[in-house]
Amino acid sequence: MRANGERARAVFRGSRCSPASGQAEVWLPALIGLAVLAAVAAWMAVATHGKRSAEPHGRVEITYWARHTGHEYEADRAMAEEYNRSQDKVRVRPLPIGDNLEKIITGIVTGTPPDVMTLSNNALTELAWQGAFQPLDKLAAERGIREQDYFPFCWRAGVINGHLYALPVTSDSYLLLYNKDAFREVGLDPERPPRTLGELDAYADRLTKRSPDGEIERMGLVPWIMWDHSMMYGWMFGGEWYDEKTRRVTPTDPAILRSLEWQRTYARKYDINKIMSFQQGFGSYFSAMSPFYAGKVAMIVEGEWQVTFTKKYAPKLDWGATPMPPPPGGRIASSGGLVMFAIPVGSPHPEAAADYIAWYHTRVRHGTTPLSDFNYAIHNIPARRAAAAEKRFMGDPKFRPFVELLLNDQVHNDPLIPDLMLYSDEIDTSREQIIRFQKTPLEAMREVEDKTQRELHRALTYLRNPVR
Amino acid sequence: MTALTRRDLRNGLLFASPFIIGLAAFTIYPVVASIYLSFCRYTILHPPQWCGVENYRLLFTEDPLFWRSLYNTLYYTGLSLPLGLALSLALATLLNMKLRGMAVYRTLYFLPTIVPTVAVAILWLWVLNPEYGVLKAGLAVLHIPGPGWLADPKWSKPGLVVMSLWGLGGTMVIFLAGLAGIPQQFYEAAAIDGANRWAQFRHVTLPMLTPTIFFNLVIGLIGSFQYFTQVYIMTNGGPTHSTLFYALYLYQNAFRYLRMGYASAMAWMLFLLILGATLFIHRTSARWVYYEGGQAQ
Repeated sequence: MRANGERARAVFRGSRCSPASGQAEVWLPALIGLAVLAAVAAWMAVATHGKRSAEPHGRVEITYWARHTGHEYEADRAMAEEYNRSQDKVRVRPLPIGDNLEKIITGIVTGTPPDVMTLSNNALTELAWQGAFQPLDKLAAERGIREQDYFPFCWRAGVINGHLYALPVTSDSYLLLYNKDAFREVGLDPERPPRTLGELDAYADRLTKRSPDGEIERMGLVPWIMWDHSMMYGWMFGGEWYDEKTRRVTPTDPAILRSLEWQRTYARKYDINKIMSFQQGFGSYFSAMSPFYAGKVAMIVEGEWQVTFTKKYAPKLDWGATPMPPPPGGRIASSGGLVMFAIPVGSPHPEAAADYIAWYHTRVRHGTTPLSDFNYAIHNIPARRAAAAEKRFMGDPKFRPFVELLLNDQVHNDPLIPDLMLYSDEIDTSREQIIRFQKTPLEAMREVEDKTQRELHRALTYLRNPVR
Repeated sequence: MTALTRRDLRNGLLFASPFIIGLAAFTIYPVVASIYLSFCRYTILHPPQWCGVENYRLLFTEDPLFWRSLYNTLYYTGLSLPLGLALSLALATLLNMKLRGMAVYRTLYFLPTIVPTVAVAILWLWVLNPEYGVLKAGLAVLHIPGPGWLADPKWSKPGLVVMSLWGLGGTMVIFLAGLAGIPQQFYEAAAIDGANRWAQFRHVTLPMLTPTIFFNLVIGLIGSFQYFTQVYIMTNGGPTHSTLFYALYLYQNAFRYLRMGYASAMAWMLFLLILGATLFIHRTSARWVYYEGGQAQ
């Protein structure tokens, strides 16, 4: 035992053994540790840089971070594969990253961004202000990509602070969907949806059903189901959320306050607590138990993807769609989301990336563009007019009214400000406080205005003074 | 320093070098950098810009959500920590009885702790569902109308506290170890003196367990100040900021609003808060923590 201990100590001290072997034994573990670190670092370097610069068979390989995941990503990947087959200069390597701000920022800051990416419009707005993307004005113009080919709403979303930073691929718009069977049940004409806001409220009341003990069985309409639509209602009442000229957010616009007051009438009429616990009983959005499919709400504000969703989850549902009826002095309005192409700063192959975007948007094969095919696969509205005009979109009577909102330029852009996320979160929470009667619309919106304006001012000052 | 000790030191450092390099690069550097960044405006993509104490001034004077998130965190800590300690102690005492098949019971009570936090969070979304939740069904048997839990700003935090009790297993195991360390002769002596079960618990078990309670208290305190995952998944701070916990608000500032400087300032305030609370408990511990064989410190 003792001898063993001695030897162990000798090994660790190193000094008691012969000089040469002792040194080796001491350095070995440390060297192994450092070698492992170095190997990890080298592997990471190869994994991030090696692949992209490697050009198998003389082809440039470009990395594409896709906004879409799941089956939507598969449709997007099919486009990339078609592109790879169609030519032999560039190979696009897509990855389903999603709207992951942390990943995108880390990629750009560490100098390992993708060559090209898609992302949603609100993430784009926020990041474009921070200088995350290359301006596309020249790259797009050189490739024949022109503003007039897109819906105005879609094109505007890519123009941040005077420069074009993104090209729109897919778009959404919102209509009032209504359950025709429920209409029939309460004696309403299923072919005559409400035309004024007053009518809408009356219909909602008539469609609401309670059990004998006062519990809600069906709601005619709850303005904030499934999401907060406060921005859309603000526009619908004729309000504006942002003034580009003075660079001020304007949530206290009287029209906006009226729209919030209108939302609150529902909280008052049907008892907010009852609505809230009723809402908790809703099944998953992506299932037959989703409230509109299950007949729990008779009218709902929803997007164009429902044309396909209803076929899948509620094939027997008989529904119609109509623009949200505005109040007197208001206007037909919708909000909308987008997914857009952008080229990050530090992209190793911006020209090849722009080529891919141009191909995606403009190359006509078998009578249509990849952009159109992708939209059709995921049931969104193509951002390009020509694609949306195709029979498979405009020819579908259920899909057509969603596209018409874009055609008539009735879809409004979220304010294109650096603090868009903060602003929309603040609006969402304030709406909750308003419908729970914790604050009046004016109180809540004053707070939103103060906070957002302060942050906006700060952000604009900060972004004006680059130290780099 | 002799040549020998110098060589020992060098060799020791060499052996520890992979760890030291990792610690310096991935922990010490970011921590130190965050001190500097807390005095800057910084969005990660744009270079940091010195702004003095502005972030701290904003925190204390202009941001009601900072106070709200602090209040929520203290509320949750104040409710879940004592409750959790008491219940896990009670559970450990029960599971310390000499009964057949005790190992099975212990395993059963520890099992929920093994489930990953994210899975637990998703599961509890349904347990707490005010319409179809199993908790509502259970309360209905007792003719108690269930509250809205996570749908109701008044009940969302209590709902999370109830959920936290699901993960008692870890604390319970530490208590069990503490209980096993209490010498049997103390109980025998107490029994001879005529102490009943409660008196034994009150005057033998509890004092002997104070070091364990102290440990669990400090660890639990730090854990609940950093409460994040569950609310990030289940509520994202809602309804109406009622579950906006400190760590969640910090995260939102950093990665949603890109206010990394502000988030750094928040992180340092949290650090000071946890440090203060821990020191406070440590100071008072001399009065109520009993170490067998004298003071441990």
